[in-house]
Amino acid sequence: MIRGKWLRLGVTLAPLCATPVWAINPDNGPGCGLGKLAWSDYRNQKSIAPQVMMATTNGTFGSQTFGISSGTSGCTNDGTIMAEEKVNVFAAANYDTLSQEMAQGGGEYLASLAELMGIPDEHRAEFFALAQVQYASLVQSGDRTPATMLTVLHRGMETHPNFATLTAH
Amino acid sequence: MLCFFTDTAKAHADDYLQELIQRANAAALYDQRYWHLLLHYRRTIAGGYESEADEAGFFLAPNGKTDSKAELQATLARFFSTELVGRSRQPARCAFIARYHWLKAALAIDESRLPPEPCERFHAWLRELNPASITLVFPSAYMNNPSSMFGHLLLRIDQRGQTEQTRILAYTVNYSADVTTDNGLVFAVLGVAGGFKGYFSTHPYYVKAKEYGDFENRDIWEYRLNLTEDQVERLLMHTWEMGNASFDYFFFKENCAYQILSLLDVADPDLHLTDRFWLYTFPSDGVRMIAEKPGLVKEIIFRPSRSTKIRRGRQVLSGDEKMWLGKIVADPSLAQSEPFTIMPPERQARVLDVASDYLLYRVATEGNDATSYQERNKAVLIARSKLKAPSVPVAPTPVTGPPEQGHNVMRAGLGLGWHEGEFFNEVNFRLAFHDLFDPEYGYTPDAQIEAMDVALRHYARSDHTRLERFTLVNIVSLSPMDALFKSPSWKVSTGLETIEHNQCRFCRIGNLNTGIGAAAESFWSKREVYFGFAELASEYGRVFNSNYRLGGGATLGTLVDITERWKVGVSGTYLQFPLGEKSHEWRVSAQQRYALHKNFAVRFEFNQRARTQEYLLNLHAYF
Repeated sequence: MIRGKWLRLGVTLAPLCATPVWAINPDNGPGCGLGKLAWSDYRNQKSIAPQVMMATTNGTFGSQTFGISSGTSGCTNDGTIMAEEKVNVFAAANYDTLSQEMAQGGGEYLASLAELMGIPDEHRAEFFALAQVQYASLVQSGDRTPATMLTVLHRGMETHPNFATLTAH
Repeated sequence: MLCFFTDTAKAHADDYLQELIQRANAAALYDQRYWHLLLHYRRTIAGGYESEADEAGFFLAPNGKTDSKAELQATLARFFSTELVGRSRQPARCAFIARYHWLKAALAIDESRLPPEPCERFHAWLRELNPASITLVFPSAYMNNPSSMFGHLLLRIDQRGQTEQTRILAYTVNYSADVTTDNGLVFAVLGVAGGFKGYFSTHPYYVKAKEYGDFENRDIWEYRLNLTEDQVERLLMHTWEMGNASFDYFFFKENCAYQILSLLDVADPDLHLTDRFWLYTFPSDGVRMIAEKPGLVKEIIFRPSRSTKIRRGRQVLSGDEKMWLGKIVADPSLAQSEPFTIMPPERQARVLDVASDYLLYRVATEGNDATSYQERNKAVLIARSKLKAPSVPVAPTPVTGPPEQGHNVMRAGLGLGWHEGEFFNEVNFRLAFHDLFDPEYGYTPDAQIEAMDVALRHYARSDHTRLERFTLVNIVSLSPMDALFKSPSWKVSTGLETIEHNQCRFCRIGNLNTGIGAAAESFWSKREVYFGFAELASEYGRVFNSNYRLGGGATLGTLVDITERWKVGVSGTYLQFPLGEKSHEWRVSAQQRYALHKNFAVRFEFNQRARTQEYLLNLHAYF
């Protein structure tokens, strides 16, 4: 047993699989704290060679947010995202890719957003086209937050006959 | 009256509990494999059993960690109580719902004598996951983070009605360490010795895809598994129980791969996935075991990282378009000016899509300069949003084969060589993992990680046997640079070796070498890589005056893949040692490898160090 441990010690200092290095900010506002969900402290790959010797991690761990059967915390319930926060969390976590796909008029993330927003498959193409048009408004708003992105999309949908019912509330 | 009634009910419950315990003992359920899987019991060297779980709340008996029988009895007893247990604070039958379901079936528990518990939290969770099937996800190796050098393993719970486009919305089951230190050395020591706690979590797949694919630029392999509805349900019931558990995280064995495989063992006990590991568990070995089970893998899907997407996107551009790509990422205003805008919209879109991916790649990897790339990306996207052309997805061709098709991680070799006029035989063994001359298919190209490599030699004429080399660790990461990608290359190695120096013919020294440099690639034959390093070298041994020498120098070299199987490489190093024993040294090495099979290769090498020359022919087997 002792021998096994020493062998393990000697193998290499690098562990065999990932340990967390980023964090979702702890929720500190009402609901999910839209916009606070950020990719904080993600260690970029600039300084690399020293990292082999100094295996540092500077993030905290997202297991509290997504811990299984962990009760309610912020926007999650037993590790799954609360229904009313799904769109917000998705938009916050994928802001960059979503803006890119809005400008391109389609893609995996935009399709998934449409799914979360309850847009039926047959209207997906129209939603993509609308999102592309709305990209200009997103840029004009000058505000780089997921909340603005969703507002801009909603504003486009309100004036569209196929989507007006989805946004009426 | 009421009091009397509850007393009777209690007496009845007690009777039934005693009956169940007797039947469980008679059937020796506590010795059954499935009970052991659910409680994570493993046989100890002393012959008993001990659970790998390390949280008291995971057990219902005080000695449950080491006594499977006491634990089973205590579990049955708690099933008759509504008291909240475990970290998740639920009645026992809900907190440990997989145990309850198994025991209920094994003992044919009568629900009229033990009325069912509604377990609303569990059922709400299950509805939310909406499970249809399970996918094993393997993010490939990431050299620039020591905790990811060997890849990772997690599960994805695929949802009913999920499509290729919406699979990012599915939840995952992930196991990782709760790292509690910033100190690198403490991290390494605690990680190896089990000083961190490991927990399971259920991040959405889009969080994981972003972390691995966009931030760390790791290609992801997805293995859709053929599990029955019952197996999926068992797996998820046990996953729910894991909300009460934590484990001491051991980087080498009880790591992500091991724990993920343990969940699959619960889904289908006939898989026997965790039985085989004794010293370490590589994520790629986990994939290999899954892929080897007949019929278990339904489909393999490759999900390119952002950098792979950029490289593939760039490959399909014409020379003209590539020129525009370079110009636009530097000055995005060109995307809205005359010569570019007269191109057909499809071609403009193709250029702008790669440009935007590239700028986002820089945003994610740059840190300080991120805002400037963010602004440039916005300008590119404004131009892109005016084009009605759809984005054409580029075929996501992987840069290497799927991990299960790579060679096995241990290596043994038999060699025959000639050293300064004398023949020798060599046996060598390497515990792990891959060097630049091993067959490359299934491994991250240009990435070498060797650990615990030992070579023994017997010299024929002088009839003596020596330890030729012991490499503790030898890592090389080559990152070919081009117009878009400019990551440095680096290397680090340490170990013992035998040299000829100062009239000492076979002298053992210890060494530590580290270097930083650059690499480039071309495609004249199949593929060529050129590299250069500036390096620091230190050597220790009685052979040196003052017992050591410390200095630096440079290495230049090239690696050529002539065919898929045949690889040739040459390198030269010059080192100057101004500290300790003042000296300098030239080293030249030429190697070639021919892969006979994924797990067999022959290698022929020539090495010159100072004035010592040797030739060596090796047959390598991987197992």
